[in-house]
Amino acid sequence: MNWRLIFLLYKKELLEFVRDRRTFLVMILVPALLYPGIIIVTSELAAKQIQKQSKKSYIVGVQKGFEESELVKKISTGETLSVAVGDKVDFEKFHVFIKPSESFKNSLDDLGTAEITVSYQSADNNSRFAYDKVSNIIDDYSEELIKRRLDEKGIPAGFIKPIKVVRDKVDKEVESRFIAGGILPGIMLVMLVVGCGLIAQEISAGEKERGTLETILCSPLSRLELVCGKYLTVATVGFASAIINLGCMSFTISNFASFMGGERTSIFSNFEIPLNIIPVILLCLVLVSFLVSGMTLIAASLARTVQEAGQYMIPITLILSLPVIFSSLPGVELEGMNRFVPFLNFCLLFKNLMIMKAGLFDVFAVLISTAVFALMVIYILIKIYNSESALFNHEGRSVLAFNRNSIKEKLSPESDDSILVYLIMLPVFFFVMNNLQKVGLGQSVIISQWGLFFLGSILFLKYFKINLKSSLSLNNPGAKNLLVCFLLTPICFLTVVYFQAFLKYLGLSGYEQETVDVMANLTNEYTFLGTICIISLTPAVCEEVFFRGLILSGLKKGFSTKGCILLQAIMFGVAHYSIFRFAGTAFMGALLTIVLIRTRSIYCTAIMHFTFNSFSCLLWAYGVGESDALEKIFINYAFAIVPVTLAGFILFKFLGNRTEVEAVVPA
Amino acid sequence: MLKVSNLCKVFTDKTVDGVTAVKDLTFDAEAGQIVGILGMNGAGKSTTLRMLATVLKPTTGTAFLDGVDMQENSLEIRKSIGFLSGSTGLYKRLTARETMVYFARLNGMGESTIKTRVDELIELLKMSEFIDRRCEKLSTGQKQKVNIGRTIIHDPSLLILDEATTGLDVVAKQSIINFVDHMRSDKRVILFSTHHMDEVDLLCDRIIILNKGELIAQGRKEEVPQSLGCENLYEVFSKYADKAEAIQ
Repeated sequence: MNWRLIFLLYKKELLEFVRDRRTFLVMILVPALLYPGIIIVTSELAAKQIQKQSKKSYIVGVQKGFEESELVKKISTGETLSVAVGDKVDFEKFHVFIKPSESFKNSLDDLGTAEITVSYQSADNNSRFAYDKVSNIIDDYSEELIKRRLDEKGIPAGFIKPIKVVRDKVDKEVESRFIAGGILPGIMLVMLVVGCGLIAQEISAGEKERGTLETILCSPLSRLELVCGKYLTVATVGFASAIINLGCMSFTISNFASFMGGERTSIFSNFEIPLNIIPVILLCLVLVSFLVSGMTLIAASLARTVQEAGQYMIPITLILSLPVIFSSLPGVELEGMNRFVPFLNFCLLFKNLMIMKAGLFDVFAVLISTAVFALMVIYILIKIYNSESALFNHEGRSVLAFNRNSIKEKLSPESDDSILVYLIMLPVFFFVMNNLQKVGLGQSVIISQWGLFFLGSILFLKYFKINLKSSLSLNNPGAKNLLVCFLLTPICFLTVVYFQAFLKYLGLSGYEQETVDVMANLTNEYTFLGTICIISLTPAVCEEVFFRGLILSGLKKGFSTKGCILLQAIMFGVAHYSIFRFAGTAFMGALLTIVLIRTRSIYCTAIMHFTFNSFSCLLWAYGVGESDALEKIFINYAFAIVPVTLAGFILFKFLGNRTEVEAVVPA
Repeated sequence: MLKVSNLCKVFTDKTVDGVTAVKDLTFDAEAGQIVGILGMNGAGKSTTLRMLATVLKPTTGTAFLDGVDMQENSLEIRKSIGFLSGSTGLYKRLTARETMVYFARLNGMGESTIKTRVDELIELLKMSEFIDRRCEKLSTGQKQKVNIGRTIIHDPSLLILDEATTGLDVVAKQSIINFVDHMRSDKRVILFSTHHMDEVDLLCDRIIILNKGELIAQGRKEEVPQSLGCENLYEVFSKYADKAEAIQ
C-alpha cells in the first residue's frame, strides 16, 4: 500500500471539501450560532409564555348550590381566577368545572374525606393551567382543614407527618454533567452522520455523477488505496464535525446563565467536561467516526447521484437515532450485551464517563467492539470498490423507477428493490400485526402473513413482470435434498436452541415471558392442528416466499453469497421484532439461506421452516416451554452440542450443491 | 505496441440476466498509429476502451502494452495510460493547474518535472489565461483543454480517447482534433472512438468496427468498407443500423 498516494488523495479531497461554502455553514456556523441561538430563543419564549399564561384570567365553573362554600370563596380570591355558577360541565363557558360529591359537606363535618371532581381538558393549555391553579388552592385548603382538625383535637402537627424529608443534593456539579451526558452523544452522533454524509456523497456518488470516477480508477491508485484515502477524508470531516459540535454545545451549556443575562440561575453554571476523560472521549469518537464514515460511504457508494446518496443518509440517521433514544431510557446501563451494541455503547459510556463511573473493562469493551464494527464496515467498503457492478451500477436500473408499460420482463428483482421492499414491509407488518392482535393472535398472524408476505410478494413480482419460478426458486428439489432437509431440521432446531441457550447463559440474550404467553394463548384458543397451521404452515409458506424468494433473489444480484447470507440473517432476525430472539432467528435465517443457495429450491427451505416451527409447537404441547427451559437444556445437555453440530455438517455435505448452475451465463 | 487477444466482457455473472458486451476481440495497434474504434451505440466500444484503460476487468482474454500484461500489472501500466472520454468531468473546486499537478503526482512524477511539464502544457494548450481559475468557472472548451492536460501530463504511451469530442462546439472540437494529430508519435498508440466519420477521415490510420460486441472488420480505413462490400464508412453504418432495426 502506497501511503504517499493515499495522503495525496486525502489532501485533495479535503482541499475540495473546505473550499465548499456549504461546509463552512453546516460544520462551523450551524453549531456555533444555532445552539446558543436555539437555547436563548426557546428559553426566552418559554419564560414569556409562562408569564403570559399566569397573567391570563380563567373562569372556574362551580356546580350550582356549591358557590357559597368556603372552598369556592377561596378559589374566587385566587389570582386571575373568577368563579361562575353552572349546572353541568361546559367548556364553552368555563376553563375548569368543580363538582362536589353529594356527601361532600357531611364528609367534611364527620372528619372524613370529601370528594370533589375537577373537570378539565388535557388538550387545552388554558384548561390545564386553570386546573393547576385550582388544584393548588384545593391542596392548600385541604392542608388548612387538617391543621384545624388537629388543633380542635389538641394533636400536634407532627402526628400526621412524623418524618420530614430534607433534600440534600450533594452532587450538584455532577448533575449538570449527568444531564449533558444524556444529550451530547446524541447530538454528536447526528452531526457526525451529517458531516460524514455531506462529504461521502460528494466523493463517491458525486464522482460518478461528475464523471471523475473513471479518471481516478485508471490512475496508479489501487482500489484499496482509493478506499483508504476516501475513508480517511470522511472520517476526518466527521470527527471534526463531532468535535466542533461537542465544543459548541459544551460552551453553550456552561454559559447558559450568562446567555440569559444572569437573570436566572442554572444547574449548568458550573458545567465543564472533566479534563481526564477527554482523551477517552476523543479516542471513542475517532473509532465511532470511522464506523459512521464507513456506513455513510457504503450508502453513498451504492448511489448513482448525489441526490440519491442524500436520500440514503435518511435511514442511516434514523437507524442511528434508535440507540441514542434507547440509551436515554431509564434502567438502560452499560452492562451485558449493551457494551457491544454500536452507538448505544458509545452513548452509555459517554454518560458514565461524564459522571466518572466508567470502568476500565467498559472502556475497552466499547473501544474494541466499535473497532471491530469499523473493520467490518471497511471490509464491505473495499468489496464495493472492487465490485464493478456496484461502482458503475450496470446491473440495470431499479424496476421501481419505471411505469409498468416500460418494464421489461426479468428473472429477478434488483438488489436495491429487494432492500426497499423489505424496509417498507417491515413497519407495515409491525403495524398490521400489532393492530390485528386486538382481534385475535391467530387471526393477526394469518392475515398479516398471507396478506402481506405472501400476497404482497406475489403482487409485487407480477406487477413488475418478474418471473415467479425463477425469483421464488420454484425448482424441483429432488428426493435426496428433501430427505436431507427433513433430517437436517431437528439438528438445526437443537443447534438454534443450544445457541440461544448459550447466549442466555452468557447473559447476552434472554427468552422473554412474552413468547411463553403467546404460545399459551394460541394453544388455549386453537386445537393442536390449528396451532400448527398458524405457527408452522403459515410462516413456512409466507416467510419463505418473502425472504428466501423475493428478497434473496434480489440480494443475489447485488451481493456475494456471503453478503446475502449475512443480510438475510439480519433481515430475518430484525423482522421477528424481538431483541431476545434476534440471535436465534438470525441464525435460522442464515441456515435457510444457505440451504436455498445450495438446493435452489424453495420447497426445501419451506419444509425445513415448517418442521422447525412444528418442533416448537410440540415442545410447548408437552410443556417443555417454561421460561427457564433453555437454560436447563444448555446446562444439562451442553455436551450434546458437539455431536449435534457434527451431524449437521455431515448432513450438509449430502445437500446437493447446485450453485454452479447460477454461474451459467447465456451467450 | 498494443496487442489485444480474445478480449471478452460479460456484465453480471450472478444471474442469468448477464449481458455479453464484448466477444472475443483480437487486434493489434502499432506505436505511431491512430486506431479508430467505430460502431453504433451499444457496440461495445466504451467497454473495450474501459478494459484497456484497466477500469474494467475483462471476463476473459488478455491485453499487452509493450509486452507487459495490462491486467497482471495494472497499477504499473496505468502510468503509461491516458484516458479521456466525452463524459469525463473535472474536480470543480480545484484550479486547472492544481488538477494537472494532482494527476502528475498520482503518476509518480517528481516536483521539478511536474513544473516543467505543466508549463509546457500551458503553452501547448494555450491555458495561461485560466490556469489558476477553478474548474467550475471554466467554459466547456476550457474544461476540455484541462482534461486533455491532465490526460497527457505523464506523457502516456497509450492514449485512449472515448468519444472525446461529444457535446463540443466546432472550435473546441477542432482543437481536440488538432491535439490528437499533434500527439501522434512513434512512441505512442492512440485509440480513438467516435461516431463522426469526418474525424475518422482526418485522424485515423486504421479502424476497427464493432457490432454488438463482436469485431466485424479491421484494417486500413480505405480498405475496410470494401471488405464489407460497401463504398464508404457511412454505408457500412447504414447497413448495420438497418440490420439492428430489423432484429428489433
